[in-house]
Amino acid sequence: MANYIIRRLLMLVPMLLGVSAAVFLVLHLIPGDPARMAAGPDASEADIEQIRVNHGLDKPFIVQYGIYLKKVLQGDLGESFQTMAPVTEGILRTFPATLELAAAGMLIAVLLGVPIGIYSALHPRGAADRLVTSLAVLGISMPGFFLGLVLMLVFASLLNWLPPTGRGSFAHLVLPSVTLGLPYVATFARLTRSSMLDVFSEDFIRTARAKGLSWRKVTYRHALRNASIPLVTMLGLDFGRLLGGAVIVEKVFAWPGMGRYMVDAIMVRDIYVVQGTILVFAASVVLINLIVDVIYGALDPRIAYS
Amino acid sequence: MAPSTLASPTPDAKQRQGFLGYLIRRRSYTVLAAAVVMVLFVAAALAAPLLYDWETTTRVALDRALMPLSAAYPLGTDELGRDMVARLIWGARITLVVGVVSVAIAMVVGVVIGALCGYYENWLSSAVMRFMDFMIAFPRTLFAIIIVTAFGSGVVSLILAIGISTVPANVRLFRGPVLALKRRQFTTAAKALGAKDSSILFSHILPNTMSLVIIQGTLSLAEAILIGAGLSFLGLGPQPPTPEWGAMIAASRAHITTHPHVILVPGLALFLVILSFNLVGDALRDYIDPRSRKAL
Repeated sequence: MANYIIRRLLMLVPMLLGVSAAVFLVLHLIPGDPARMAAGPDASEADIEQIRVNHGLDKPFIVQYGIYLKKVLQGDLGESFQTMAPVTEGILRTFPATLELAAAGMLIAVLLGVPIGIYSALHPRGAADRLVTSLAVLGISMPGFFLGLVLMLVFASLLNWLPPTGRGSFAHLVLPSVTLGLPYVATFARLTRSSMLDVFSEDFIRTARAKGLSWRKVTYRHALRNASIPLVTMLGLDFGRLLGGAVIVEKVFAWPGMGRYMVDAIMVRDIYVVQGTILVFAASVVLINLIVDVIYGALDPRIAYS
Repeated sequence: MAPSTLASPTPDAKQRQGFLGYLIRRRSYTVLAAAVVMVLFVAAALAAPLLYDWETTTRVALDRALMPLSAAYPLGTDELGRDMVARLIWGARITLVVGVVSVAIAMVVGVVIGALCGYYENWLSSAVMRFMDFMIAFPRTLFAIIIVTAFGSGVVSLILAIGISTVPANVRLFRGPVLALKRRQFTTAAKALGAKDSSILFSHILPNTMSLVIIQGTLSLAEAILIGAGLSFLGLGPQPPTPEWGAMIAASRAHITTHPHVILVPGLALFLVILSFNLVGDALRDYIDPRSRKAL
């Protein structure tokens, strides 16, 4: 087990090398001179050249990448062209906010979706079952930013229950995390339902019932545990999607997260910020997948790590 | 996990009934309504230049900014005094172009790579599939954002971003059926008759994936429109004064409390169009392959 985790963590290295190389290549070969953007419209050629030298942009591409990698290994993701502040600092400041938002959104999706899914699996073809099917289509059809703005209009402007934007108190977290999590509720409910129904038809459920266990115990102890394996897979994949969706939700609610940090940097071609944030996003996705694989083993001892 | 077994090479009787007749017979009124929305959307997109010229759609007239819904302006005006109906209709045109072209790119590239990876099972195809699996795990929105960053903001880069970021999922989706079709008897028969690999792939295997292409194309359009609007909302799509729906919402955000119609009009249009493509896509899947209904 420990071996497996270490090996997987080591696999992170080539993966992140690949991502960083790809992103570095893409951002450096594109038109649009970042030094010129940073210098502003009135800058002289000498000023622009100075910025280029300061950031090492005058060196050949491969040398630039080498220098960048060396710095990344020391925890230095470069400096912003705009503010001259270290990118690592910016990420440390914004990433917790994004993580908080994504985790809260995920929590909402799971806490609502799984019980609804269990209920509709226990009552197939009932009202809840049909409702979930309709809601799932609505969920995947609703643009996150529009849902967020409508929620903001209703709960912040009209009812005045919650603050419209910003981060701070728990109340600030409600609207953004609901916006992020709500579309996934129906997805989780459907998945819970179908995997519960699959498990219900297994022999060991009949055995458990035959030896006299109550339905309640069978449902929660035997069925739910076995049905949770596809759910955990989905959770891992969807956490990545939630991080992506957070970029948009952060913009709607002026949430000071890493997505906003990244998008603002894209607008002004602040390449080290873009590179750093993408690397951190990629690393989080890979780490989440690792965590999911480890949870599998805990849920199902039949899965062997090799 | 072959996603739905494909229609057999011999058309069965039910298929000739027609999709519309199928919907009416099943009393799927929601889907019929969705089909109407789809038709209206496409008609508006095609007729946009006939109804309103570009000048009316983009000209700023601050003296009639943020007017409420009235006879002269059925959907009101936006914060720069432009007719919301004109902008909505031109927005439909941009949305349709972005959706159709990006899905076409994603489909062609996805089907070709998926078919090749399914037909030739060797180290290269498994390496490609590994790479695709990694790309699928990476959040789509972020993937698309990186591509937009590379090509700069605008309609073309938006199309490329959506198209390219859909490719990995399509590759995986189309590889399965090709893998299965390769083992069918008609493929073996074609091979026994001396057909070349290319002819087996293009005249025997790919035509049998067409139903999947139609279903996936419709559902992909919904997703492409959703992602495109999201990127435009972030400012990474067509730039003002282009009336893209997501960009319109971003530009009018400040007026949401005082004049909600500037947000609600493009937002509801977006939601309805995406919903319609999803509903029709799901119904098409049930129609073409009734067995898939049980899957999820």
